[in-house]
Amino acid sequence: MSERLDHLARRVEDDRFFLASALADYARSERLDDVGLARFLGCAVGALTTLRLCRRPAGDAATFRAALAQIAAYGGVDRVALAAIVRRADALDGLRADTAATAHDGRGTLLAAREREGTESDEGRAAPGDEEGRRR
Amino acid sequence: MDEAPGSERAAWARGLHARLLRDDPTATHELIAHYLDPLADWLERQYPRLGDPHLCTTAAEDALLALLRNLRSYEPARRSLWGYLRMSARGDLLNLLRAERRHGSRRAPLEAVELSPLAGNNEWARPYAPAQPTDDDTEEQSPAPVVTGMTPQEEQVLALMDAGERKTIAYALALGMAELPAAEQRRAVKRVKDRLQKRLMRGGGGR
Repeated sequence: MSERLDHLARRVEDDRFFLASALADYARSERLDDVGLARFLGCAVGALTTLRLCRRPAGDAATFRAALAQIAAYGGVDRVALAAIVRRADALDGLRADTAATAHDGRGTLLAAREREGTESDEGRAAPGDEEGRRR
Repeated sequence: MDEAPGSERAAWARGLHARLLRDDPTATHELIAHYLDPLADWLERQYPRLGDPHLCTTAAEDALLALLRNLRSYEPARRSLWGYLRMSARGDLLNLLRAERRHGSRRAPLEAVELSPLAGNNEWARPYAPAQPTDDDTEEQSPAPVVTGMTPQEEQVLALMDAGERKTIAYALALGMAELPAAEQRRAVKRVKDRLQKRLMRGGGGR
């Protein structure tokens, strides 16, 4: 894989246009390095550059699903894992947007999690296909 | 990277551009994978005396990212995608060079900083302190275009030069001079090319 491609793939990690932004957000949230991320996706580390430079899926549900399937096939990665990554990144974007909105009026946001009685906590529940990717 | 009209490569490039316009998610990688290295290599060959070859890579990246952010800036009917990207990358490189020169002209020499042997740097040998902001905010403005005020014909000539066109008649056609005798065509085309070269050199680039 070209060094230049790798460099550009890193450069666009803050650019929401590219899938690189979703991969970076997910990796940060799970504290994964490239090896861990590739393992979660079921691909070689070298395939991450290909994924990073694809366009981040967006749009309505059908368009989103079709884009995910196309990227997964193109990059040779697990479609379910890829979906989990993008959905996590989208959720994180939503939280950031909410935080930014409430910060403007001077009010902070407190988040609290509480275990439901008789069930696992949210933290303990694994996301689909998550087992391989966990660092722990 | 020849994308001569009617060639398979040209058809592929047009198809790729159409896919990008349809938000095809993998077309972005295909564009970058196909053009990034050749574009950066081409810039390095055009500007072999640059102090920092990474500037060529950055300019190539900038050109591809700019296209992706504004796909309609490229008109397939006007020139090949390869020709468009070379023109765009050359402009980005020259803007980077200009920015480097502006930055360099504001750097203070290390001799301007006096480090007192006593605790605290509260005495300066000279009044100038490198960290002082200047009033000139030109670095914050958008980079100026490489060659301004080009006529559409001059743009076509530049595109032909970028594409490595050697035939005088091609330039003569672009300039509307195809009816002139061959010797006059050659002289007129040479004048236009020399003028464009000089304007590019003043902008910091060259062939």
